[in-house]
Amino acid sequence: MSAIELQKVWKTYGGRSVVSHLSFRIEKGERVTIHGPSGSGKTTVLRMLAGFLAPDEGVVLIGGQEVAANGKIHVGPEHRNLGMVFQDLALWPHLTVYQNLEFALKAQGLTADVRRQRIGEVLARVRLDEFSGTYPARLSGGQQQRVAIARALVAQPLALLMDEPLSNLDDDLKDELCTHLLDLHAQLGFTLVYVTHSKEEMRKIGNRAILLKDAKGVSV
Amino acid sequence: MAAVVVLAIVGLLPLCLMVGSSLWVDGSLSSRNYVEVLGNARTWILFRNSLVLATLTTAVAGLAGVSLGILVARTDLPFSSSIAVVFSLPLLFPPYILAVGWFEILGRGGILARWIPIGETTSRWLFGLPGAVLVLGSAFLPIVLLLTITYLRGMNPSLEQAARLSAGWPAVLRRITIPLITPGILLSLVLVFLLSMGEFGAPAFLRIDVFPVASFTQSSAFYNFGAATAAAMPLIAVVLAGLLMIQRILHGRAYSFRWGGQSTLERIPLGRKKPIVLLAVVVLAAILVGVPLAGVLWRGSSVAALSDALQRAGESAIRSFVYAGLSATFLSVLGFFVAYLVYRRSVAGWWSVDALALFLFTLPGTVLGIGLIALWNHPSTNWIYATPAMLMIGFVAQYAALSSRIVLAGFSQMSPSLEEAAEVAGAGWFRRVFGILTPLVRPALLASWAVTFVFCLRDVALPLLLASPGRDTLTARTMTLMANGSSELIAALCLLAVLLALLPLGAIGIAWRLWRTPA
Repeated sequence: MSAIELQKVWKTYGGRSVVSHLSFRIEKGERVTIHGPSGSGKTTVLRMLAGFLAPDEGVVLIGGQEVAANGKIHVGPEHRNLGMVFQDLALWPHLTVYQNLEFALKAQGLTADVRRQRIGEVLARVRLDEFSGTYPARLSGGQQQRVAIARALVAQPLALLMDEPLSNLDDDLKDELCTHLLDLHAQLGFTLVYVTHSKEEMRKIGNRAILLKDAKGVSV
Repeated sequence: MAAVVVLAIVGLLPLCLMVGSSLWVDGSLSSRNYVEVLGNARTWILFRNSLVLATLTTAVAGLAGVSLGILVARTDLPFSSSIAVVFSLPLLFPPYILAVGWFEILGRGGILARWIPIGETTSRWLFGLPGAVLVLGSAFLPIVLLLTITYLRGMNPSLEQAARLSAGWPAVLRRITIPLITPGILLSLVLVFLLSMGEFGAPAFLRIDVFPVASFTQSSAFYNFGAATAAAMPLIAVVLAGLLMIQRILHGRAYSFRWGGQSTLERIPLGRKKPIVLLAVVVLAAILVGVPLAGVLWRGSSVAALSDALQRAGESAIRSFVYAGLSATFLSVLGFFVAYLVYRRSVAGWWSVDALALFLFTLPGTVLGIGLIALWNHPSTNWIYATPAMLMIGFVAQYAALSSRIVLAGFSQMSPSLEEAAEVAGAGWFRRVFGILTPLVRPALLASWAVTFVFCLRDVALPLLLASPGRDTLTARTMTLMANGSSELIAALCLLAVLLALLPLGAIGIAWRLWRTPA
């Protein structure tokens, strides 16, 4: 059973095909990058996987379960068990680092003790344990990036989706975070779907790449 | 700099003089006015009444406005734009029109009393705190509604999407969306509270004993400006406290959630509850807006009543239109320069100009009017005081904050590099301002004109205090005729005021659409 599967997915915006007849499979534990030029539909694919968009045609399967098909979302984002790191990180500015991570665990109905333990472990892995009471705005760009990754991983998702998360960082920080992400993957073994337009990030992070061109996945 | 001087002359100077003259009794410095007014138990009863009315109004407008704002801006409720327009209608005309409308429904001789013999009870209810809260709550609800919608639409969608990955909509709204727009909600609540505290027309019609009504009576009936100023001091104190609160709300937050992206926010599906929610919203719109307007229409739409209204107040209506139009034009120009000053932070103390404008906006019209009378009512300045310019000065002082804030919103959408590029290309200040900036903020200038036009048109307290004899406005004329005019005449005058606001705005709306639509 694949972790993620798209079957002949089609998506149009204003009469223009953004994704057409795209099919691929991602196996559990794989590190897959989705690569393509601007406007090739990378983010649209990720948003369909997350559950924010429904494909006009075709089927989306997560963990073998059909979650969306032919214009309808059958399983909402909160029931897909996915983590996501957004391009602008989307850290909640009114919540501390701890509260940012706690949100998903509260939604799962975990007890305070379990939540504390789980958050402590994840923050230690991203080396931010001393910043749990800090608000995101007071952190550096790299630290914010690691909070976003920690928040996406804390609920132990089936797969981690990342939408060009390093695009706004300088080269040194990019290298550091790429290494850190690969370390985390080696430790935790999650499935990673990483959207990027950078060939360098594609080579570094993915062990497989899906190239999007002319709204189609032309090469796997 | 000229904008700062204008604002200081029309707004700050009268207030300073007002305070000074209240301390000057019989040729010497004295606190007698304050001792008399503040030592009087009635002052504190009035203050308590005003506080209770403003608090309850804020609670009603806040609860309904925030709920409706979320429904309109974030859910898949059908006809959401039309619903927002209907609920915002009361902002276009003075609140006393809603009071008159309810009077035609719930008064002793109202529609309800014709069918059910409960006119006495409903009339007592209307001419009391519940009636005043209903009227002011529906009059100021649009402020909360529109600010909630504005803040919700300005939110970065990925903040909610990040939460949606692990929780359903109720938890996302409760823990992410609403806390993020709390500054906007609090701002709207403080504004509603201050405007309710200073509202004159509706409480005067409903005979509610509140501060602005008492302050107006002191100045216009007894010509006791010192006592009127002293009586206004608690209101000024409340306004200052409210403004400090706004300052804390807007600048005390260490985070920002707004963005300039294009992606649309996901609409919350109402599912099977959609028809019930729609029905509830329509019923609420009917109660808060439809019923009182229907009351006015029912009583005042006869040919006899309308022709009587036109005969007795037709000239006042024309004057209202002209004064509001001229004031709105001047306000838009002033607002442009105040906004430019705040945007560029081009003079030291730029924030004090913005704060002064906001202070004047939230200051009750009765207080501002008394201040302007104290400043301009002298033989040497009679050439201004005895003319319509006096009223327009009052409008400019009261509504400068509206125009400057709207134009500032236009400026903030623009990159500062646009002006810098013109500067590098060798354009002088005049060419930069009129060749580059003015065309770019034209929509904001038009919005500023329309909003300030409506606010000048609907004002009651300033025309009552400042309009020279024989040159009153429609609102002032209506309030005067309320004392002895027939119900039909008053309702027809209200109808005239509604039409006066709706017709030009409708024309502007159509013109705007035609202009924006490509050939």
